[in-house]
Amino acid sequence: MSMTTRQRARLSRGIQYAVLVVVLIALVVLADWDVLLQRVLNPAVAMDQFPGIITVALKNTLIYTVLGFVLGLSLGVVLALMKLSSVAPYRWIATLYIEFFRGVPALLVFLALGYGIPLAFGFRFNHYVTVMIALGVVAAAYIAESLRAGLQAVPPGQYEAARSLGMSHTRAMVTIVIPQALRIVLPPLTNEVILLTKDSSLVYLLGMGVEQYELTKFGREGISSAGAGLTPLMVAGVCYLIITVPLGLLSRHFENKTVRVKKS
Amino acid sequence: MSTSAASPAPVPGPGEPRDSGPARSVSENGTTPGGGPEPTVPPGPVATSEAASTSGTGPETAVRVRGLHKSYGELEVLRGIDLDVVAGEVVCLIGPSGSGKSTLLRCLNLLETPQAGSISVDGFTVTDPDLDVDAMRRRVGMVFQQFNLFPHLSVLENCTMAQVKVLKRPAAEARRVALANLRRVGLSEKADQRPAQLSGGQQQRVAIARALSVDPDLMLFDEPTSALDPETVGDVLSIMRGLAADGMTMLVVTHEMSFARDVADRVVFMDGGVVVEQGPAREVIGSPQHQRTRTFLSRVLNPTTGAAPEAPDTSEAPTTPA
Repeated sequence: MSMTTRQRARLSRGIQYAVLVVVLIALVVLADWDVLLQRVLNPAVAMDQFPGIITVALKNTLIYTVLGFVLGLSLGVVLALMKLSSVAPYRWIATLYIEFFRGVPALLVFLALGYGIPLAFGFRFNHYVTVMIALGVVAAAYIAESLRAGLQAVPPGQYEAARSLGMSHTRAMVTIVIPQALRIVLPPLTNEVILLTKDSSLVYLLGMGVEQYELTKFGREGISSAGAGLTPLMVAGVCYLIITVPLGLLSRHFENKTVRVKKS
Repeated sequence: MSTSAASPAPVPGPGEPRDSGPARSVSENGTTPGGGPEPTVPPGPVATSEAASTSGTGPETAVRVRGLHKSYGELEVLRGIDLDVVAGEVVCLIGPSGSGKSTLLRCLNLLETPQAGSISVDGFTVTDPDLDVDAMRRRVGMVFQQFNLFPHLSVLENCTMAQVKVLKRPAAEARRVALANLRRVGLSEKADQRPAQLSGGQQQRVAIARALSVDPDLMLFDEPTSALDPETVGDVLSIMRGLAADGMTMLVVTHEMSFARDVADRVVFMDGGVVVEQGPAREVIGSPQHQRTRTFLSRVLNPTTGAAPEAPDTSEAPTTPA
């Protein structure tokens, strides 16, 4: 008995569904749910995380992310303008910077700032400054590239048309080029905030006081108390998702919808 | 090809008062005979404009170009251009692609910076390093091949933005001027739409309205119909005819020979970065004197006949007006 291609495809899909259902049933029947819940999602342990995980850890994660983003954006704007400059050495410096910090692991930067510099020079930044620099210098490299791409994606004819109407360079950039570049840059910029949120977990490498714990360090400390199991890390993970999922939705929203940069 | 009967614009024939161009000049190297680099002459009556003084608008020079050179690295795009345009005149720049027509136009409002020569436009010495570039550009409207409407603004905002931000007009007045110009190009009902919602021809008409909204004395058109669907070309050209009829000074880079013949007071043929031949539109297009002009025109006017009919080999010999 021969089957048409469409019938074969339908049969294949049916088999895949059947396998998935069997696996699901096996999980439900065979797994020891009491033990799993006890060790992974223990409600009592989860409750123990509060309120510290919000008032200390989530708050600090947000602070570190914002610090990194502020430095990253400021430095990124400068680097993007340098990269588009007509002065060649500016372009070289910006290229060198961007290639370097996109090419080395953020972990290395954290170790350099947290341990390398104190050991080499016997001198240590304030905790928040260290975090800001470590997160910011890497983010700046990525942000600079996004901004450059966004500015270059606006056709040169837009600038020329604006100048031809008598607008100054600054006026043409502010009213015509940057609003259009912003539309292009918002999705990658939002993604950069997501990456920064997650990279802020690297702060846990730096020694710090209890009140400076961020989500990952807080979870790490949580699982070392007796009988806590995985639950503290699960709670920390959910806290990350509370930040990153809305940002992801926002990014997609920017991508899909034409953001109207309306003048007042 | 349309006929001149379709044109509402008064089309002066040779010798009529509107024919204000300088005496027809033809030369082998494209410069006026004996025309080396001339000193910059302040704007004002020019020697060759005695015909213009009879036109009623006065012998006001709108554009004066002398010895203009422009090159990109090794590539010399403009090799000594002289050009005069009198106020109210419509001049079409024609020539093969790569001949420097667009570059010449873009030098006039400094979208390109020339290396040598002098330009004065509407009383501004464009080549003066101290020029207030923005003040000059306010007087010179530019229409681009690719329209370059601002996609993040509505049609109306495209026409009001420069009025408000540059001329500092109150919003209500800017709106009134913009709507008047949109009406002029027949698109006032599209005022609240985005450029992307319009056809190419409509976009180009909005671009004309946008340029007109800052009240320019002079309009530059850089191949305004080259990016359009054939059926929308006519709408744009008829707007331009109307502008010409209203006395706007216009410099038009175009491949529309019928437009050039019917609307232009003067046609300037460029090739290889020099002005090869110029004169009254009907004469240059109807009976070109220079071999390069003949070759170009026969290619443009009879694209299906393939190679241009070769006239006797006079292309390298000095050609003089018949």
